Amino acid sequence: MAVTAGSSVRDARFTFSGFAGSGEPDPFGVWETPAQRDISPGEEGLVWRVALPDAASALDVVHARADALRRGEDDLARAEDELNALLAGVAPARDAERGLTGAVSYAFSVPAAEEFHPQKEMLRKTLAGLAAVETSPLTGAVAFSAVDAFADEKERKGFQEARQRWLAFVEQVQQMVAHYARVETTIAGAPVGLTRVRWAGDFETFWVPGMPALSREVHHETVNLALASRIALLRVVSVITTGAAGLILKAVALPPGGQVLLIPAARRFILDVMTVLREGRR
Amino acid sequence: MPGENVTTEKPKDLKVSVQQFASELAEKVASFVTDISELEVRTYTITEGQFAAVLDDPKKKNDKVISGDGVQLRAYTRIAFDSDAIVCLPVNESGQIDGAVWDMHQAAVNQALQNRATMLRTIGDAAASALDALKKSR
Repeated sequence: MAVTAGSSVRDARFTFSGFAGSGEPDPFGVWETPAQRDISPGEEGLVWRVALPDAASALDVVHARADALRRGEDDLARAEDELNALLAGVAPARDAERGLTGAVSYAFSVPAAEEFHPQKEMLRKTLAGLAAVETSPLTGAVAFSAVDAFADEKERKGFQEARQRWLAFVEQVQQMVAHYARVETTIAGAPVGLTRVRWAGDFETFWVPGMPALSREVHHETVNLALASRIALLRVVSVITTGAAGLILKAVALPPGGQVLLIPAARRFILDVMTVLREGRR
Repeated sequence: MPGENVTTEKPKDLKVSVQQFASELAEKVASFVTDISELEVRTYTITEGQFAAVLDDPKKKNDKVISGDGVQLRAYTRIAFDSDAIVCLPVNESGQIDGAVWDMHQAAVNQALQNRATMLRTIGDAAASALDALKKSR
C-alpha cells in the first residue's frame, strides 16, 4: 500500500455513529466515534462518514482502511479459534472435584504459559463470579453452582456490569438490523455522494451532479468499506452468540439464571482478544 | 448497606431479555430471507451541499421515494429473485440517455447485488456455525 501523502492519512476522518450507548470503540479499529457537533439533528440509524482532505490521495486512504478491516476480520477469526479451543478444554470434572454443594463441576483451568492467558483467565473468573464458587486448590477447576442470589457485593456489581453490556449489545444488534446504513463521502469539505442501504439490501444513492469520475469512485469504495464493516459487525454478533452457545452447552449443570451471563462473557473475550492482536501490530 | 441502590435486577430478568433477543433475531433473519426476494435501486441527483436534507419523513416511513428541495429521482431498477427486472432509464432535457447518471446507477446496481450475495452468505455461515455448535454438544 503506497500512501505517500502522510498528512492526508492523518487528516482523513472515518466516523461511525448510531449505536446507542456505545461508548466503546469499533472492534475492528477502522472507524472513530464522531464529535457530537458532527451528528446531524434528527438523524437516525447507522451513519458512516468519510471526510477526505483531497481527491489525489483519497482512494489510497480508503483502501488502507479496507486493509485494516481485513486484518480485523482475521483477528476475529483468530479470537473465534481461541474461544473454540478453550471450549474444547472444558470437560466434566472427576468426582473428586465436585463442589461441597454437590453441584456437578466442569474443569476449566488456564495454564500460565498459554497465549491470551489474561483474557482466558478473565473468562474463567467471569464464569467463577457467577455464584458461590469454589476453585480446586490442585487444578484451579471451577465449580459452577446456583446464582439465584448474589453471594456478595462484588458479585452483584459483576452481574450489573454484565447486564449493562448485554443490554447495549442487544440495542446495537437491533439498530443494525432495523435501520438504514447511511454512508456519506466528502472531499475537501465538498459533498460527493450519499448512499443509504436498507437491511434487506435496497439501495438509494444521491449524487452531486458534475462530480469527476475519481470522486465517484472514491464514494463507491467508501460504500464498499461501510457495507463490509456492517457485515463484519454481523459476524462479530454471530461469533459471540455461537461462542456463548458453546459455553452454555458445555456447562449443562449451570442453572438457567447463570447461563445467560455467558453471552456477555463471550463478548468480552472475543473483543479483548481482538484488541490484543490489533495493539500487537502497532 | 453498600450496593442497596445499585440494582434490584436478578438473573431471571436477564434470562427474559436473552430469550426475547433470540426470538427477535430469529424473526429478523426470517424477514430478511423474505425481504431479499426483491431488490430496488434508486439513483438521485441532489443539489450541492444538501446531504443533510436527505431524511425520511417520520410520517411517511413506508414511502420509499424521497422528495425534497433539490432531490430528483433519475434512475430506478427493480430486480426480482428470479432475475426479472424493471429498469427506468435517466434521460436529459433533449430526451437522450444521461450517460453519467446511467453509469453511476449501474455501478450502484452491481454494488447492491454484490452486497445482497454477501449478506446471504454471512447469514448462511452464521446459521451453519450455530448448527455446528449444536452438533458438537451432542
